[in-house]
Amino acid sequence: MSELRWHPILEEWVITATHRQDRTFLPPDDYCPLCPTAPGAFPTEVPEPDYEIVCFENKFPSLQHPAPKPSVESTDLYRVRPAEGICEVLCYTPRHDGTLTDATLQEMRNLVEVWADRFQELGSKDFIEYVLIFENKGKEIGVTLTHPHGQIYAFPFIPPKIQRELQSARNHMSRTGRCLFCDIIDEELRDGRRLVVENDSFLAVIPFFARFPYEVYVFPRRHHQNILSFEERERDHFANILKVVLQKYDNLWGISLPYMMIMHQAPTDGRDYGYYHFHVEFHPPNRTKTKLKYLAGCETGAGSYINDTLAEEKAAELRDAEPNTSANTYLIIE
Amino acid sequence: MIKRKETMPDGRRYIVYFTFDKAGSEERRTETTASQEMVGAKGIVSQNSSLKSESSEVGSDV
Repeated sequence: MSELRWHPILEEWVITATHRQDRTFLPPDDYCPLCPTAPGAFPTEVPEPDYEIVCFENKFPSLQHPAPKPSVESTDLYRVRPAEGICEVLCYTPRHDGTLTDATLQEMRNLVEVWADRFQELGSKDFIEYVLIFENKGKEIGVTLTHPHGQIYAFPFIPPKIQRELQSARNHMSRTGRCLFCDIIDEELRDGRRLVVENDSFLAVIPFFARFPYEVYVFPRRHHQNILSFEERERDHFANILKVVLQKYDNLWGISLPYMMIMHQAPTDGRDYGYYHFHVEFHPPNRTKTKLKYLAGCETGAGSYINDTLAEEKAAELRDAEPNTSANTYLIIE
Repeated sequence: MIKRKETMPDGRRYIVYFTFDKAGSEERRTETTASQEMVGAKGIVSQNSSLKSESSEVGSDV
């Protein structure tokens, strides 16, 4: 059962998806549902003996098309609507072990192409208003399958955090005539202390306003609303900077750092969002090698984040972590 | 890249993406079927264009 229930206090939709309680939880490695189906072996989610990148509809989707009828009736106060949408799983590699950090640059570049394709295909559907591409990595984040994979949620509404970003960007544009994100990029480049890595097309920073100790934002220098308008060279550079950020994360303490990686793009509801600026957010939960930052009373209860660290100091740590690339040096796509 | 759309036994849609090298023979590279298409073949869309009007759905079963 899944449905959308209106939260009248926060004025946002809550996805209720009770069938997800039964989803596969940390299966043994030899019963991974995201591995290719070997001849004669048990059938996985991928009925192919091999693949490079594969995408399929989630077996336990929060959003579905067509969506089932809600289990309860709407009232004036408690509105309910079908959880219409699409949830996809994106397997980065047939290799069970490892992470996205282990992807070659060419594999990362291929993934950029697939992200763009999924965004375009899902965003073109009439009932989809927002396409969220993301990855949850690590048991600390609550990952239930360790095989390297990401997810895509195609929403029938614009999620609340995105709505808030859009409003801020609109307000800034009205007030200054400039893009909020372009101004953030200028400010970060001018200051320089929070810069983690940059190339000709992108920069990665722990922004002034970071809420997690190692929270990295990746911005394109050019004002793009979504991945589709990236030129070929920018797609190369995008793959490159993501690879470098992931390597730095893992080399920071010599562990495979858990994170949430979220791609923020303009909505796909057909309206004009010229004031919005594409970016990727990384939210690793670690505040030290062995300690996590939890979203506790103040964060969950009040929505107010407490960061126990200074972005300037944490960015310096990530800058020093290998690969210690200087500006405009690149790994080579082989 | 090339994508090939398939359907699982339970009716869910899956899409296999592969590069030219993995596609194998030259013949397969140029083969076009109803469920196989080039990724990015629609080209780059402009910043403010609506995806709703730019894209056509190919073989979608969702």
